[in-house]
Amino acid sequence: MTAEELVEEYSNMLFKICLVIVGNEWDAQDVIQDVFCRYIEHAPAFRDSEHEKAWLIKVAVNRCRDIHRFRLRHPQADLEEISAYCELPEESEVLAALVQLPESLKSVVYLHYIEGYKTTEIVNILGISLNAVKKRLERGRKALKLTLSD
Amino acid sequence: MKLQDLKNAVSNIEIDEAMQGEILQNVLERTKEDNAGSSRRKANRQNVSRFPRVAATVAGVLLAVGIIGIPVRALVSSLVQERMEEIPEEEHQEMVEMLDSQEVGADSYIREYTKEERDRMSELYAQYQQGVFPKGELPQVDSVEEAEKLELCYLTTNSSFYLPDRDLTDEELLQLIDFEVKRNYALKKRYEEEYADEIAAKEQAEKEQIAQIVDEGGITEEEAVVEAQKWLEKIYGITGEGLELNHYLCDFEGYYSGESNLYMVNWSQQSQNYYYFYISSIDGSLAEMHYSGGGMVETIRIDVTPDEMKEKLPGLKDAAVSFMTEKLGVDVTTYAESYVNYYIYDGVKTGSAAEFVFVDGNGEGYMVQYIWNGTLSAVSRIYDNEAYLQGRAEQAESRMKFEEEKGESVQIENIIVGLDEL
Repeated sequence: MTAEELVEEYSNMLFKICLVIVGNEWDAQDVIQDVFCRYIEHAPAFRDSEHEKAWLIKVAVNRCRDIHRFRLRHPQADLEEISAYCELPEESEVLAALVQLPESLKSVVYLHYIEGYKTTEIVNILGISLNAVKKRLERGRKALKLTLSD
Repeated sequence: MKLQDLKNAVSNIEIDEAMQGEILQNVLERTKEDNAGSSRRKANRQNVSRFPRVAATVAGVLLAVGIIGIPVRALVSSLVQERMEEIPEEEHQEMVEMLDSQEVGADSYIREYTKEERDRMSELYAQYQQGVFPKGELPQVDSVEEAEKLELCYLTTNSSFYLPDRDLTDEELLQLIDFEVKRNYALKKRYEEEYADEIAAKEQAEKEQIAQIVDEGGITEEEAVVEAQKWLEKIYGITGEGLELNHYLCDFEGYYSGESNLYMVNWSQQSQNYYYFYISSIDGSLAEMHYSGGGMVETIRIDVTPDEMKEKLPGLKDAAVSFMTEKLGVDVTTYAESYVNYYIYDGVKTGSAAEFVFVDGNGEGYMVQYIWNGTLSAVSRIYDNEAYLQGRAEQAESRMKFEEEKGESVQIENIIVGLDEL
C-alpha cells in the first residue's frame, strides 16, 4: 500500500484509537506518522486486510504507550480539545471518561467495545495474555460503570 | 454508561483533511529521507559508556521464577511448560473453541476475592511455577442451572467464575490458577501455530542481528536482562520477582538519549507500575530508564503554576543530586554545569516534569526527570548538551506551531535555572 492509500484507508481509524489513548491531537498525529513510516519500511507480508489492520493497531498502541511516558514534559491533554468532537454534552462526558481511564485499560476497552475485537483476537494484537485482557476489561468496565444493554 | 453511548461518543471523532494532508506529507518526507525517527529524536550518539555498570553483587537470576502474569513473550517455568505440553491436543482445541465462541469480554465473578484469598493466590502462583499443581480441575459447565448446583465452577457461556460463600481452599485456588494458565497457554499455542512462519522469520532476523552484535563484542539479550535487573534492584529496591517481564532488541532510538542498538527490558506490576530499562547492546551500560505508575496519570493531570513549581524545585533538586550520588555513584560537584529546565505554558501553568541536567565541559552527562510530586520518571545519558537544549526548544516550537495551525495560540517557554540558584 502506498502512503496515500494508507492515509486514506487507515488514518481515521488510527486517529480515533490514538486520540483516546494519548488524549491529545498532537501526540496522536505523531503516533500515526510513526506507524505509517514503520509500515512503509518494515511491514510484513499480510494475509488479508484484517491482518494488516491488526498490525497497524498493534504498532499504534505500542507507540502510544511510549508517547504516554514521554508526554511527562507537557501538561495533560486539555479535555476541551477532545470534547470539541462531540455535539452533545453527554457524549463529551462519556468521551472524557474513556480518555481518562488508565492507559493500560484504554486500549483493551477500545478494541473490544468499540472495534468489536474478541478477547482472543486482542491477545494477538496487543501481545498480552488472555488473563490480562480480561482483567483490564473488567477494570475498565467497572471504571466506566459500563452497562452492556441498551 | 451504556455501551451504545460509548460507541456514539467515539464515532464523533473524525480526523480532518488538513491533518491527513500533514500526516501524508510528513510520512513521505521521512521515508524519502530514510529517517524513521520523529523530529524529537536525536541523531545517533557515540556509545561511550558513561553510566557505570552496577557491580555484580547478585548472581544471574532464574528469570522464570515467580512471575505472576504470563504475557505472550514472558517465560513460564519449565515445570509448568511440561504440564501444559502433557495436555492432549484435543483439550487445547476445545479450550480455544470455547474461548472463541464467547461473546463476552471480561471475566465476571459471583463475588469478589477476599484480600486473604488474593494474598494466598499470589503465594500459590509462585508455588505453582515451582511445580505445586492442583489435584483436581476446575469444573466447567455450560448452563446457569448447572453452575448454581456447584460451589466452585466456571460457566463457559459467559466466562463467569462461581465461587463459594466461604474462603477458597488452597486446592481450589490452585485449580483457578491452573485453569487460567491453561487458558493462556491454549491461545498462545494457537497463535504460534497460526503465525509460525512469521514468528520464525522475526526470531531468525532478531537472532542474526544479535549474533552480529555479539560478534562485534556486544552483549546478548539475556545479559541485558541481568544488567537491567541490577538497576531495578539498585534504583527501586525490587528484584522483579512476581512482576511480568518483557524484553526485546529495539528497532528505535532512545527517546532522550537518541542512542541506537538498545535492548528494552521492562517489568510491569499487574498493569499498575511499569519499569523500563534501555540497555546498550554494545557494552551493557544503562542508556535510559523510564518509570510510570503509582497514580502518576491522576497526579500529572493537576495543573501546577510556575510559582508552585518554583517552590518544589529545591526539594526535587535534592532528590536529583541524591539519585546521582547514591544510585549512579557519580560526584555531581565535578560537573561543569548543572541546571533544571521545564516548560511554562502561557505563563500560567507548567509541564508535569522538571529535568535536571548535569554535564561536563564536553557537554556530556545525565538528565534526571522528576514529576512535580517527586516521582522519578526518567533518567538518560546526554551526549551533547547543546543538542539536548536545542531539542527542547524545537519540541516547544513544534507544539506552538501545531496549536497555531489549529487556530489556537499557546506560548511555551523552556525555563532554565542553574542549580546553584535554587
